[in-house]
Amino acid sequence: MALLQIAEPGMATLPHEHRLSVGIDLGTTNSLVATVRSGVADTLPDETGQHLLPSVVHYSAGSKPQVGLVAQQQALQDPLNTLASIKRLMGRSAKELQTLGGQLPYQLMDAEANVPRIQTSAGAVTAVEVSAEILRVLKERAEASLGGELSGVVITVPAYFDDAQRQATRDAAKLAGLQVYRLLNEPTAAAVAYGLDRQDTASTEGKVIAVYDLGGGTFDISILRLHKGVFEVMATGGDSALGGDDFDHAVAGWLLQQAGLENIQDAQVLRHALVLAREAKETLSGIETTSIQLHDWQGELNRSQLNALIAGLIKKTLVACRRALRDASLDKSQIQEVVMVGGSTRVLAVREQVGAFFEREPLVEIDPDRVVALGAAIQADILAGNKPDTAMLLLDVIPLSLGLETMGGLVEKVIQRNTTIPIARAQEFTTFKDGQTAMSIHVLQGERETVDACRSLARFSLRGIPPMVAGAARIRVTFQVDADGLLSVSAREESTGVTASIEVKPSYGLSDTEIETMLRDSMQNARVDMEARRLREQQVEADRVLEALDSALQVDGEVLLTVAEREILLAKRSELSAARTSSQVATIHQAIKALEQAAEIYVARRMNASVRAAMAGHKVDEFSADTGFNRPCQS
Amino acid sequence: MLQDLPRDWFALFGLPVQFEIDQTALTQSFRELQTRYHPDRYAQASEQEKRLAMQITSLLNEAHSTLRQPRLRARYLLEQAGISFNDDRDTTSDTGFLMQQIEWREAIEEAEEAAEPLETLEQLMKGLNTELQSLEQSFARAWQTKTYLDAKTTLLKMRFYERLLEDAQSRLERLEDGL
Repeated sequence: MALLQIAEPGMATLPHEHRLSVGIDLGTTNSLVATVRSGVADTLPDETGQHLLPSVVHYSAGSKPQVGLVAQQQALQDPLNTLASIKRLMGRSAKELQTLGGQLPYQLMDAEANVPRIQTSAGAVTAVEVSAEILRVLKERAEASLGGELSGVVITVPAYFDDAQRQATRDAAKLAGLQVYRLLNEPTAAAVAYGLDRQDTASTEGKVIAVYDLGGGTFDISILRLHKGVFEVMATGGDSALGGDDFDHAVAGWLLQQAGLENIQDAQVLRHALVLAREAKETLSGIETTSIQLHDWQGELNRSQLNALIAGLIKKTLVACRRALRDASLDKSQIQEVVMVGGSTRVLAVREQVGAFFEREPLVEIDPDRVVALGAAIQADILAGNKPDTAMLLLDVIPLSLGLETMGGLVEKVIQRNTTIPIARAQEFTTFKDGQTAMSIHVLQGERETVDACRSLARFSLRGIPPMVAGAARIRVTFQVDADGLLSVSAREESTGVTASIEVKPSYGLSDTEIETMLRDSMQNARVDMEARRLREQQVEADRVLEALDSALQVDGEVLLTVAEREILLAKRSELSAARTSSQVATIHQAIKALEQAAEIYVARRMNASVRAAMAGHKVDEFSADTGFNRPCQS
Repeated sequence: MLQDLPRDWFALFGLPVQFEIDQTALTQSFRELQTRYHPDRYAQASEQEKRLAMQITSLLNEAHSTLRQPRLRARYLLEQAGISFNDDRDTTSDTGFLMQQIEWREAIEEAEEAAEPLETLEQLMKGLNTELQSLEQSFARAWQTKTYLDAKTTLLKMRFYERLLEDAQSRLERLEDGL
């Protein structure tokens, strides 16, 4: 309830408090954590000085999972318990993984499962849990290095991640005990780190750049317009299942073929071929030819052979670049800079072809592995309230269209791809039978016209529609996409004002109960610690609320509130003030909620007054009346 | 959907109510309002304020994207002037125009069989955009002279071209995906 922020956007309510925040790049191959110290963003190393944490987790019965380099070193001896490239499984069903090429050398518990569980010697795990292990290690690293608890984090995701993949990332953060300020798109983060908005500020149109981000398992292309701190994404595109891993698979396939092992099923040999392929790919960025030994086979691979093996994959990325340009209604010649991001842009053929496509030399100054984490740290610092005077603002878009199933298995688009978020769209439905009280809605994401060719996000059942004759009910369903790119849905019957209840069946992803169970399991050891922490958090929150209320009342309490309203508010204020000293989290929490509830009308009036001033006489309640929001679609 | 949102989107961005639009002024004003109300500015605020910020910026984004796109802007202007639309029934009876539409559609279908289908489709899309621009000029004239029914007819024709563009684009993307 930082009421003061209306007058001073971005102001932290406690000006002298510096909140610890980090940016996390949760990558397919490597993950990083970065923070801003003394105004400079930097990645944080572990105790041995390593910045990159390999995104690999090794499970063994009866002991804590190992993460990073130590896990990676087990990959060859124990391939089935060493989980790498787990990001490719996020938000995907077992079936989808098979159609992605069946390249993952793991044993899935159930080939039909919507949330695949991987069999390890320590039990079955989901991609969300594996990612949470990686996040936990980064969290510990950051807290040890910064000397305190993190107040919040920004986690980056590929711009082309769909709703299910974003939700899975949020779930992983929740499991790791992280408070997520924002999910930030990787190319946008990179653009922030490059700070290209600071140049050419004379032009009112700003500067248009392209960010080409090829990671281990995902590819994004984003086109942005930068103007004095405002980063406006004009279009984004990509492939959330295309990356350096695929280069490795292409080379590994060639190696196995050369060695006469193309039909081999041995996980250890396959893993070895992949490791060799990756080494060869990396070596060939420096020299022309490399020699390789696999099993009994010994041979050579040169750069032009490598280029031929990956040519089709690079071409796919350029098709996405063309599409993004078309969506932004721009010609190649209008792109003023091209920024290269992601470890896979070290491959020379990638740099050459991207340069040739955009007809300009791409920028590679900032380490392509670290640039995304650096940008995320800058954004986290701002969201933590540590830079109240910043002009920086990121306006991102939704990467894939959202639609509804209509008659005949067709999809009607409700929100088009590349629409700036947050965005809300409403759609009206009616009943087709007399007395109909329920209705089901199927939400999809994708560009094609048919249900089969799009990705199912969730099915909603609306219940509690008042019985009427067919066609009389007007059910208004509102789709809200928030600043993280996550969808929530609410529904209301317009003629009676009845809010229909929504039952969500996520097509992929974990349910709330599953997340809670995982959370409980993982927290058992840390329970005492958690209690103490929550108490401290509640006390800080109580102080913040009290201070915000006092300052606000001083400014306009007499103008916006009647004497009676003020008295009620002050009574609740004293209750919170008393509860503040309690050792019970729940007591403080309830008192905060009670005060917030009492202050709701006051907050609304302040917001109203402020908006009215800015919007030339608009009534804010014209568009803020719907408060049935915030029902997340996937959780 | 539009009728449930605030009426005066031109005023929201401080612009005169007319079809010709100063894109630079629109962009500038949009950025200013976003800077003020974006949810990122309320990251440390209460849940209620966060929700309000999200609702306000959702509206800003909707208003901005409507005014920025000529056809949506045109429709918005007409609706404000009291002209009603019925998306299922509204159509044009201009047979010459409809014949032309059939020709365009055939050209788009045939493009897929052309030697260079991608380039052919892109060329067709350019042509469709040129047609759209000339319709935008007709709309602007009709709007100025307050001949709203003419303006509506022009707008319906614009919708025809947009559908053709959407069709051409989805064919193009399917071809690209198959590469």
